[in-house]
Amino acid sequence: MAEVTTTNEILSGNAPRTNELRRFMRVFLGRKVVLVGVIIILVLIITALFAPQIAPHDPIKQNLRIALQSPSSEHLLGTDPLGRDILSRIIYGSRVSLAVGFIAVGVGGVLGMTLGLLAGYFGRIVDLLIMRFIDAMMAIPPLMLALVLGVSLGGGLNNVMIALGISLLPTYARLMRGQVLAVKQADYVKAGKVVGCSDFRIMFRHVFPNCLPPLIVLVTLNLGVAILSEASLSFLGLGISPPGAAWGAMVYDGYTYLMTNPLLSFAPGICIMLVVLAFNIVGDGLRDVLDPRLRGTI
Amino acid sequence: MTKKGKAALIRMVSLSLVFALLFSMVIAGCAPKEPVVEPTVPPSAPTEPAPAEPQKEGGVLKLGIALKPTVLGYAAEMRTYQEFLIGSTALEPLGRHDETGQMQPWLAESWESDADAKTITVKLKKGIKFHDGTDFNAEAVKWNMDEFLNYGRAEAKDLESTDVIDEYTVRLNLVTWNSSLMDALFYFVLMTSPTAFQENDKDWAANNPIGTGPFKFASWDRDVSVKFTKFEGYWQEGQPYLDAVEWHLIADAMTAMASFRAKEVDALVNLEPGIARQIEGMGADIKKLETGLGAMAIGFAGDSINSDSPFSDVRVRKALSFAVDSEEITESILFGYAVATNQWGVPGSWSFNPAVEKYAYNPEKAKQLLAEAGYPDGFTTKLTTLNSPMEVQIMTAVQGYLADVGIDAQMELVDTAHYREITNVASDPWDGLMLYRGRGDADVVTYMPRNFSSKGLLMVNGLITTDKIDKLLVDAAAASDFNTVKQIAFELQKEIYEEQCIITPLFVLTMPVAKYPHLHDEGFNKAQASLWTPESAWIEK
Amino acid sequence: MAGFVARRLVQSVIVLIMVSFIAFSFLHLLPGDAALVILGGEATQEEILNLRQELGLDQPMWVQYGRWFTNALQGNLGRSIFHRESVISVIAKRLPVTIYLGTLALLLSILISIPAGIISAVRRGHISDSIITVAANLGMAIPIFWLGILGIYFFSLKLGWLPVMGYTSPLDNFWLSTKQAIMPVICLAVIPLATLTRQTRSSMLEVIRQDYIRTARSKGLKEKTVITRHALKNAIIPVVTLLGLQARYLVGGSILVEQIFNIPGMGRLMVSSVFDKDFPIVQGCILVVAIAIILANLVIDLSYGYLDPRIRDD
Repeated sequence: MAEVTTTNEILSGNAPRTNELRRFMRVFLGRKVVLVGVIIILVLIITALFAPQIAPHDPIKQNLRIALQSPSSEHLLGTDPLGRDILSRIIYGSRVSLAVGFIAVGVGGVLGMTLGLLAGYFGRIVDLLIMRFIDAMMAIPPLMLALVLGVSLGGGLNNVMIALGISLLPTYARLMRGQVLAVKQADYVKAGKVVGCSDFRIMFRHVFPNCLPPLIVLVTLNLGVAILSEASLSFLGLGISPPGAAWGAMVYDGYTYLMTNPLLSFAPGICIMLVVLAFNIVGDGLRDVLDPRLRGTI
Repeated sequence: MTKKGKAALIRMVSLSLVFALLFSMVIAGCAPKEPVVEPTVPPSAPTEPAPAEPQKEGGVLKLGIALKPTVLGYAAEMRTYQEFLIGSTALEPLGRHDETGQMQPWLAESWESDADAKTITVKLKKGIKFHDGTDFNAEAVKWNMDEFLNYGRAEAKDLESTDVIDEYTVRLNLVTWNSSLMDALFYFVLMTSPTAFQENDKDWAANNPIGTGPFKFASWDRDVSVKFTKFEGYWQEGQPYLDAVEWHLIADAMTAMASFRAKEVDALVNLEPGIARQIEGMGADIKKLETGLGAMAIGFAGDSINSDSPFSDVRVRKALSFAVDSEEITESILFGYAVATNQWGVPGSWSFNPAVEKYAYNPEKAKQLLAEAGYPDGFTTKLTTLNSPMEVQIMTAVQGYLADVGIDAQMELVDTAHYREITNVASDPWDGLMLYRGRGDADVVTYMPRNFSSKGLLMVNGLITTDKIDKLLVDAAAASDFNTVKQIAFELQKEIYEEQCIITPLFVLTMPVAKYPHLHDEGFNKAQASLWTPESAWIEK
Repeated sequence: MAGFVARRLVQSVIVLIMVSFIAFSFLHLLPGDAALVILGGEATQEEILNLRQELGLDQPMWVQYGRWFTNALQGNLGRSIFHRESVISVIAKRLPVTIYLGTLALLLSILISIPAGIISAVRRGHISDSIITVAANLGMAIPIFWLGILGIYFFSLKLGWLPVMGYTSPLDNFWLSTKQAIMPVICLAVIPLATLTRQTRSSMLEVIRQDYIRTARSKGLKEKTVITRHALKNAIIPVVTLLGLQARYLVGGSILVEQIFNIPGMGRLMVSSVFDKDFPIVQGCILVVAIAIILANLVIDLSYGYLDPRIRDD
């Protein structure tokens, strides 16, 4: 009984957490590269939030008469084939790209973790069924899965996000199950069962939070993967609906003009690279903190 | 910050800079610094006393195309531009269009039609052989016509049967007189060897084009290439000049352009306008099609058939036509590789009616019409388009124009199969606006009824039809002289595009083909975009 | 051990059945059907119905699946709608291409990533470490199709060293084949290269800190010997695990790379078949790829089971 109370206290994040947080920040930001990554991500989030204030032009307002202009003081990165301001489109595109990242990872994460949690916690036949299903999905390459699923659902931003999310799902399920199996052996979970807590309560209140650290790392890394995959799907002909644009779609749209107007595809492409790089670095940084055995990777 | 940390940070930053620099170098490497100037033949060659006939024989012609065929040797299943183009390396039809769009005999010697008797009698050229050594004769023509008819192709709906009169004469018997049947059949039915078909089967025939053309089929490596070699027994004396023709099927348009630039192919067919613009000044010639024959027309249309749709109101449909600047789209987005039009076909073609209202770009007028129709603040609708780069770009521009007059069109992208399903006659009406893809040919009877007759097949599930249009289409088919047909065509254009505004047409593509100057008489876009005439092509050594 | 192998094999078969079922259900969500792709938009209702019947598309999904499944058990994956030949023979032409390029890419990434990872771990904090880690992270951040087209512009158009596109079997023309393979292989290798480098580096770093390495050092062994003899042996295990996973990414990468360099492999076949709604081919491709991936993992699992008896009881 006493143990359960203690666990609850720790999990609800009271007093003992302050030191933890300080240690976390110290280790996490200990390496300057991580700081650079964090700054890039912060800039991205601020850009996305304040896009209407930052963008010099309306991103979807077209003017064919000024199509494909080179950079000028009016249009810092020039204009696209429909005469829209590239800089403004990139600024607004940050919203879409960020949404693609978060929603795809959200879909994959929530579904995957739930499946993993169920499999790991209940074991036996539930575990067997779920994990064979997950194995089956793992046996289909993610891009292939996303392509088939995206085409099946019929393209468009929402469907691309869902397709990407589902293609990310298996990793979460596996990781979650592994963590659950490890945590299940811990005394406080056993104690919870003894005192008669419901399965549901034990799973979500006790098992789940303890599985989080490695999952956080995975989420961070996958945000980059999702943003990058959106570009690949655009290239394969599974784009999101105009006039709004994610960076990936912009890279592909501009790609036909690579020789005459390279900025059209380079500007969004470099944004993708920076952001994916930042998510990777931050993911690694988080891993350093959350999994001290691996401290020192990049 | 520790000293070490600082040093690490500086290193990171400078490294990123190095990478950025490397990238910009690559970018700079890609940007064209100066157009590649082809070494051309000096304008006058004073050392040569008289320009001798150039050596035309020999050489392998390599062509690039960013489309892939699915059938090459069975006319009844051949429908796409690329199938016709590649197929016509080895296959020939009975007739070919001349520059004015009139059908002229090719494998046929001559023909005679009799509107009252509902027959067309065709005399065939003699001494023509298929690649498998069998004779091209009346029996072969009958077999080809029968296959086409029995397959259920819409183009043959007015054909009743084909009779063999003698070895080199056939008679087509019509259900009802149709002034354009000749145009359709003599162009669509690419003649293939019946013997080859019977010795194998349909699937084999579809993969192995055995015709009368200047080149024999050699191999078809799906997604890679289709290869042909010279047919020594070709019926035109001395032709063809080339030893072989290789079609390279290239998935990606940019890769296709790069392979042309690297001279891995001599010509690049069906360029996207954006790509064509980049090829300009590369030392290559770009051949455009001016006639609209066999070319693709693009436009859009509302679901006028749904009585609760805003597009059931003709004022709204007229507003659509006023709202979009097709001239500007043609100039700015298509770089002039298309001809803007306000009706079926291209200006100057025989069925083009210059008296039809232009609907010149006038957003104020559009807003006014919308207000009259009860939409002073516009409305929200859907805009469905095919998910390929050019169509998406054009429809995005349309979406922008519509937004300017208050119509908020949410774009929806669909792939080819899905697009065909939602625009097929068997489907329920679509919702909102739909991309229109049609033919650019001067026409009344072959293609127009597909879209506008109540018995049509294409988009008719969503478009209104009127009795007047139906009647005109029937009359045009039944007319026996060209002037009547033309007159009816003019009336139809006016009714469909001015009075009813059923479709808002934008432009007809000029289907640009890029080629290097060493390729002569290449036979593309001569009058008809979807037919290649390779027999006279030759490569300068 | 035999029991373990048998258990894993049975599991693999169950997984394969699930794969085929997943693929089948996805494909039947696809809007638009193959009949219309073949017939074109102006098809009449009668034509559509006839063709649907001919292709068996008019049957309920479970009937189609049942039929496909029983045929598949007899080694018949059906007939391609577009290629007009059996799915097996279509795939048999494409699979070797993808395997050949994929294997080269994997070899290339192993040859570079392991030394790079070791160098960067051993010389942690030096300039070489920074270069390697930044490059590895960049490799994971570049859209592959972009890298491909840049490669084409630089190496084919500017320098004229390599052909733009195409594939030739090395048995037909080794020199041309190699020239054509260079860029696709590099593009394919980028992601495995980056992943493996990062993994080698981090497991190396972990191992270096272990007591036995310190002991080895303190015994006065040369650093080179310590690294190659002692550290690498242990550090390589997690890298090998990761190697098994690369099959998935190589196939994913081949979808993009084959599109750019116009290579007639499985990736290109997949993409065109998905858009053509050529179900039998897509279904067959997914199954064949899944078999390859499952086999790769099985081999790795088995070798682990052999190395570490504890895993057998999992």
